[in-house]
Amino acid sequence: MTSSFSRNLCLCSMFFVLLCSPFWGPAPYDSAHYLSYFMTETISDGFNPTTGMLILTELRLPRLFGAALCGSCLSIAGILCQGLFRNPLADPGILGCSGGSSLCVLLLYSLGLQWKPELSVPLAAFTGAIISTVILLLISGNILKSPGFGQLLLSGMALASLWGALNSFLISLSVSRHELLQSVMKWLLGGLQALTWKQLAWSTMPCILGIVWALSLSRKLDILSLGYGVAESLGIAAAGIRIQSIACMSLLLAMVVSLAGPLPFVGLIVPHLTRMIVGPGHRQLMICGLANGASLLIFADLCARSLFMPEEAELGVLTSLIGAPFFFWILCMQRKELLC
Amino acid sequence: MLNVQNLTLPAGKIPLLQNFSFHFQSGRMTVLLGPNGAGKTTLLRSLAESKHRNIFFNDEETCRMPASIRSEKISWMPAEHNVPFDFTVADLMQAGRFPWHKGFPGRSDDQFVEQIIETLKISHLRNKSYNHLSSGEKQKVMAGRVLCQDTPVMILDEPVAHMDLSTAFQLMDIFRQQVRKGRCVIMSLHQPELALHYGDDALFIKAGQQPEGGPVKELCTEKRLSALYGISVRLIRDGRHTYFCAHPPSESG
Repeated sequence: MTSSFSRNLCLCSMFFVLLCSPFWGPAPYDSAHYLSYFMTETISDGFNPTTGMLILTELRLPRLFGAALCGSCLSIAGILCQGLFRNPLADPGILGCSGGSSLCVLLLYSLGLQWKPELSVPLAAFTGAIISTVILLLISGNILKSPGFGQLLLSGMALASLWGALNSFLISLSVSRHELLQSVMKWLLGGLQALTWKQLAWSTMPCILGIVWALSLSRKLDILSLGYGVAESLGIAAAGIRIQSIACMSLLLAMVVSLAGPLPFVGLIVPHLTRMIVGPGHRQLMICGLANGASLLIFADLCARSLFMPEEAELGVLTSLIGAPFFFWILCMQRKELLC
Repeated sequence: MLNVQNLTLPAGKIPLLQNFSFHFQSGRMTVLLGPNGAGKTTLLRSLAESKHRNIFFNDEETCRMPASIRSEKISWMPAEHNVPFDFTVADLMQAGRFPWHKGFPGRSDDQFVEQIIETLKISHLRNKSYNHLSSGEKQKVMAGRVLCQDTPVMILDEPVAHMDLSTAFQLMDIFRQQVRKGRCVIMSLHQPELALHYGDDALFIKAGQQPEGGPVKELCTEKRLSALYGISVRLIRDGRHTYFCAHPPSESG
């Protein structure tokens, strides 16, 4: 009973944030203006209906849905990663997955190949994520058979730093090309400013596919957390579940990277927070994590665009700014349990 | 029920077991005894995880069975469990039903789990987090998970290692009942008394030697146990009961 109550609470809070968020922003059009316009069709002072509607439908709503989509995908990817590694401190970034997909997108930018960006960028991101994962599978050796966790985690970290170095190298090459540098840096810092409906339309289906896929794995991930040997004895083909989780995580992560750039910490914080509310069962965890991730990122985006008006903070910077102290706090709260 | 024929287990470069054959029979409890590091866990793990050839469940080679079928035949309790998330005791017991409900527990599964919780007398722990239990309680829960799986073959690695005297007897009684129902129970133990009292067959495992198998009563003698552990073991009979008594090697001289 309590778990279904907390699940409803998570979903309700998501809908609340979804409803409220489009009526705030740097432009002086807020909820009062829109409410009086929609309800009584009166135009309050300083409200231009045409601009107002344009801001709502072309700027704020795409950002809102983009944030919701990215937040839910990232938290699901985080849950998959933690379940896969049986480690509550794992994060998709650790595998080098987001680094790999960033690299591919950067390559695309710097080679000037952005033909149909709403299609090519997600494709590049996905290719990067998959390539990175395959390399990871190859260098960590017999990952399919023996549970070489530490090995997988360490090679993931090495790979992540390799991708990071290559990213920096590409950026340093583009220093002389100002326009390119600006767009690349904007994208790398993470943000939803330039999001269009077209981009969203292209990424929604893969996101939903990934989420449904993850949900179908959820009960098996519960069993997997008992350990690979025990999971096998309970009838789970552990290697298959691992590969599926990795592929699904890459897909979700690639979609986020292509929409908003690499957003750090969301995939780590949200699963933790949600686990505190609904417990460790992966099914509930994913449903609530979806809602919580969406609300968190919508809220963060709201902060990003309204805290430092008229300037905009970058979303990725903000998630790190909120995320890191929050993570320290979690660590302090649970120090005992995490150590054992 | 579980038949091993000419099994060779490598441990690094040296083979731990060579051409080992044994028949674990249904309706009997087989107890593995032997010093630390002799290979008890390796043998049990290879039986349970079925990565090796030449292990047969009723004439069917276990390494060829799909995991989902094997999970209905053989259950496995390793000596150590590391559960990274805060699952409750009831969650873990329900996980034992996974081969039967495939993730969607029905009322019969709930009833089965309740029954096992009653049998083990751990209803007060039902909603506690597994990671907050004492190590004896943890073992009880994991043994409960194996009982929930309800398979013809149950393989347990030192199931009573952390338990107090009376709890160990309680758990052994429960597994004895399983044996009476026709199950094949295989476990490693460090207490020859428990082996003699509850076991039917014994398997003595000593590093670098061919394991000795046979009825417990024939194997658990002063001479053989002393040879197995390398110290002098005395056997004391008191009416119906038999006690084993070992002296520290420093005092026996």
